[in-house]
Amino acid sequence: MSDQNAGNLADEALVSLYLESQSSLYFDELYRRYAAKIYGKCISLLRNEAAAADATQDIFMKLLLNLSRFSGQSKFSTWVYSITYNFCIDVIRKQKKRQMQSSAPEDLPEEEVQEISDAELLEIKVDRLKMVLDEMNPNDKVILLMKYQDGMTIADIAEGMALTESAVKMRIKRSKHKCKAIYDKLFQNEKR
Amino acid sequence: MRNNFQRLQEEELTTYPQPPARIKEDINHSQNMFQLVGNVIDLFIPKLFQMIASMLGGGGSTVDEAPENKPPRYPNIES
Repeated sequence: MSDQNAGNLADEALVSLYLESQSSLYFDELYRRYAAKIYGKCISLLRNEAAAADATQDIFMKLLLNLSRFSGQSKFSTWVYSITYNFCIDVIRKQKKRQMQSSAPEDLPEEEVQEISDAELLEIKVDRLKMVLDEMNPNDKVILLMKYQDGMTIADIAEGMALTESAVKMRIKRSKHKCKAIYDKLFQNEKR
Repeated sequence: MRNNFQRLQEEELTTYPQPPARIKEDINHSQNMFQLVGNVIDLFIPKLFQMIASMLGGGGSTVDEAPENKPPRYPNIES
């Protein structure tokens, strides 16, 4: 099969063809589709280009070694992004263990968390959203990116992060609350 | 219609640099190594087991088991 034909195939088809044939053509196509996105997510979370490059390489090696475990129950992109986020969170956790513990998402009692509507979050301007996300704890940031940027379902996030669906819902609620609080703090004197 | 999170990702993809070429080279190198190791295992492990089996006395000569060397099942019938 030619490069052009591989380019027309769905991710899931490329995975099965790679597993059948072990031909690097199919894995190369998956790399072409996801390398920039994974690298971008790593830079956004790790904030260091060299660390992001190392992480991207390690993530692709994980993908290569675990492709046979991809069950096809969720989209391939969902599986890839879950691996990416978990890998980056592990790297950050190792780098800043103490800071992460002090700002873990469980630090607010449930009754203190106000429900923030999706509309409130989605109307924040892109440049401000970037500033707000940069201020957030990586755990909170990742769960918002999974839901709103990658369009993952609650079930997908729960599977990707090894959590229950109710825990995911609570984390999303808390992360939205924190996002709004940081936004208000940064831009309290300005209108959206 | 893309939301603000998705637009942010698009903007970041255009502003962040492309992943370094060495990442792909290293992955290709590892992929080739895995394939080589896999091929070596495929070729030599069965042979190794055969050798061990024959050293232990199993899987003996197939000459005795050839049909022409076996005694007839029914001695009174010409084969």
